[in-house]
Amino acid sequence: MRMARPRLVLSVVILILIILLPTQSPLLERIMNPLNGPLTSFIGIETLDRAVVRGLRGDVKIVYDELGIPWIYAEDRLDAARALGFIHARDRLFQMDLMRRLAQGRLSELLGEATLESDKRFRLMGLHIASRETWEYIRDNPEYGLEASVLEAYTEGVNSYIELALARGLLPTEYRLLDAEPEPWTPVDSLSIGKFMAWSLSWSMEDLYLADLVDRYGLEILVDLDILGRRLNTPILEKFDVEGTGGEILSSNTPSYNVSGVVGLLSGLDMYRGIIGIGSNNWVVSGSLTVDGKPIVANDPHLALTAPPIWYVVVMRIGDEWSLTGFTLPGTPVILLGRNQYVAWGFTNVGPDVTDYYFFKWRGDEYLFNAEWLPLERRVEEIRVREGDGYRVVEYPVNMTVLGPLMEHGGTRYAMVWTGSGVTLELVAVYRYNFARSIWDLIEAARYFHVAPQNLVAADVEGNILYYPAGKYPLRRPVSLGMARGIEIVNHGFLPFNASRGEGLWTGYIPFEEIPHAVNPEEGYIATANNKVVGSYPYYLGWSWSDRYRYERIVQLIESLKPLDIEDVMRIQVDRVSLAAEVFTQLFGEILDPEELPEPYRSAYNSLLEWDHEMDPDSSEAPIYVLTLINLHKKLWGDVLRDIPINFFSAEWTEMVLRQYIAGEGSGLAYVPDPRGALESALREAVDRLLEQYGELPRWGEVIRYEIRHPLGDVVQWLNYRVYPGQGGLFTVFVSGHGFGDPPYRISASQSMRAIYPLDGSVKMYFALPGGNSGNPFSPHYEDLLPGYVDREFKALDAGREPREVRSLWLEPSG
Amino acid sequence: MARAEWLRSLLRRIGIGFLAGIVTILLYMALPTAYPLYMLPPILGGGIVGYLSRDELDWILAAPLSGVTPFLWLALLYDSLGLSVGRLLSTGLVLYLPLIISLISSVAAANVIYVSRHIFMGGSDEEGGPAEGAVAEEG
Repeated sequence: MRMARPRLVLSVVILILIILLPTQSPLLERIMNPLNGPLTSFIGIETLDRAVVRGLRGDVKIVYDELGIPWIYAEDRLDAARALGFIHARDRLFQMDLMRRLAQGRLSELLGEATLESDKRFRLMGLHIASRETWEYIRDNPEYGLEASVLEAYTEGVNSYIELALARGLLPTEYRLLDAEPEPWTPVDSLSIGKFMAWSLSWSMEDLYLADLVDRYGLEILVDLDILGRRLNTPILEKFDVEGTGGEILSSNTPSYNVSGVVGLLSGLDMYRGIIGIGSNNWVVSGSLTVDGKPIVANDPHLALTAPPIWYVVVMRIGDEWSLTGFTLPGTPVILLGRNQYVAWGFTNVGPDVTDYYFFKWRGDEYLFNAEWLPLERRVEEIRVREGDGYRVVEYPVNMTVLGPLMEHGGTRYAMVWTGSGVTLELVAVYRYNFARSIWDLIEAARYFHVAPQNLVAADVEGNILYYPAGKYPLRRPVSLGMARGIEIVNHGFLPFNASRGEGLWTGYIPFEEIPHAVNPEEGYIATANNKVVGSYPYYLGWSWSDRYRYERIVQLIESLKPLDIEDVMRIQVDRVSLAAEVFTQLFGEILDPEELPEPYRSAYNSLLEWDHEMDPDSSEAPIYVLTLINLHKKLWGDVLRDIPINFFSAEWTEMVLRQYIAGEGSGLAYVPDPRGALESALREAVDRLLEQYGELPRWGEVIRYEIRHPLGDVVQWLNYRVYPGQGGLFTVFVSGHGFGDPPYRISASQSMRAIYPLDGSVKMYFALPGGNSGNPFSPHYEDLLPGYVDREFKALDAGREPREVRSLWLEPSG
Repeated sequence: MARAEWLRSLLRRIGIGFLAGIVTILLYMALPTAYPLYMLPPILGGGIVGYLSRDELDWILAAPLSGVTPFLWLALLYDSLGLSVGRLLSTGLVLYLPLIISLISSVAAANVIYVSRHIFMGGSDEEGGPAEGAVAEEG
């Protein structure tokens, strides 16, 4: 009895504590629910084999194959859209929800105070308004009747799943962790996701950064650093002859731009641009350069790596008429990149200048616009911020000018205009790509592709190949700012404009036919890698092209491997040889003699000079090269750029001044410290840093890693993917984007997928995905494709054949 | 003979543990998801173990089994459905916290019932086991 009573009391106390424990935290309460908690919803999601979908006109069968790829068998296009909506929601609902909320400035409703600033910036950008206007335009215009119906059908599919999930406890685990539920889907949500992608790929602050440089260095910097000419860059097309002119040129003095306030306001948005866009590769080779005489299209968009991936792979069989396969963006009803049995297409971002900033003369809250005083219009955005079980409403005023939203901060005020700010029809264009029967259909559909301009490369089964960088390129009223180094500087859009004088106002867009393009070029191929579109051309397109290294490596490989087969194209796509490393190590060698260096720098430098430039995980030279180049770039440009991001000038600027230093003359040399001294200290610091951090010179795979994270992965780490050694670099075809700080580096962006489409009469696609098709963390397809992606392998998918059925799901009409 | 008796006794204890674990699973499936009802199954499962235990070793061996069984079942279910057991086992708090809670709840509840029977139905003071009579009555 003496022993038993204390034991009883202790046990009862333990039980009471355990029962009270969940009351200490809502998260604990949710997690502690052992079998009805987050773990079991997956079972219901995965085993779902029958569901009712609103609006469906006939039964739709969905077969999941051994890769977790759904094959949709529908009788018509609208039922296919409903089915796509349903399975997008089944496999990626949280991702879709997060994307629409981000675009619409509504993340705080889900995540609370932490995302309030982001929501304010996106309300300022107005993507939610542009998406709504686009939907109303599509819905009310009979020309787009089919596309409107597709958006509505897709919405029915998504909402059917949401209703089912709410009723049967099949919501993704993220909702359970956040104690939240999704709202119904709308067509505006789908368009918001498209708008966000367009914004991320084309909105820019470069005019403001350039204005800051001009304020400090005068117009001369534009000439001295060849900012607008970019003569080191290699164009996709040498020239494109059209009659276009720049229009009447106004005259002005160079103003003092004073942009720092607005730069401060907008700089927080740069991180969201990284969510989607950093670059891409694509190329098409005609039958004249392939082993089997049939064209091949290849495409690998370089976007952020996330868990789950940006893309969702799907196969659609619609009646007996259509077989499609490719990559969808969850939340949108189209195959954005892919093929059908007639055509295949791929995109890379063009990266033109489609954002402008305008300043005004002010009189209180009135601004002088084109010689007329106008009042500001105020819109108050109500942002709901989650707090406890409810919401706090934050009112955020947005001032509007006739041009666009007014960016006000730190005493400076600029109006912003972006081509995506109003109605844009890229969804219409892509939906028509899905059902094109030839490159001529693609060209016709490309007229509707507005924002963000994309380098469309394509081929059809007739053997035609196509390049068309479709998009809206604004034409402005140009203004001459004066002479610099004997050259007249005419602002066509690369610097802010004085809107009070009517400068820079948009007068239209480059006519579709006058956009540089190529059909069946003599060379037999077209490659693009975000490099300059065209050499000789009368219109201003922009200047912020990606460096040429990836592009030139692709061309080099196509030329050396032709005639090509699928394996050759795969080899090009996963190539890790850095042409930039070849260029820079050669320049280093001409500037700095290894014999002038003590050990251990001499050995490290010698190995760099003898390197084969392959950035594989075992390379011990790659870390030295990368750190040296980063250090050198910072030393050369840090003082010039000051608060402007260091990658505003890309590696080609560093290459330019190194070449000028070797040549003994050049206008860029006045802006940078002694390149030889900078190189030597950059190398020494790189080697010191690596030795200090790793004890010995490390392999590249130790320095750079695939650490692909879920949006909630910082808090719930098991949602993140497994970690793998990295490879490739900033300028390899198999690209690896990373930060410019100290190692180790996390690959923040890379090939968001790889796809190769042979136009050989099949409906084949060879592909790789950095993750898996499912967003369900317990699905065998959550990250099953990642090891193959890292190992540079490809999976084959033939939409013309029957899949191996692993699981099936029947969708039935309601009633 | 002694060895056979020992084996039989071990199997009986495992049986009691799994039996209580199955009751826990059934309760989980039957009860609403809301707190605090989901705390009841492992407590009731542990209580069954405590009630059926003949000696101290009985509930010490069987109670943890009753707490773990729902999770073994979950792992088997995941495996049979092609879901990732590996990821299930690497989910940190989401899996392990409920597992630990279930385990402690079962063990504590078994102890409460076992000791209560000892106190209120009579038995050895020093050993803390149930009254011989009570065990004998249960057969």
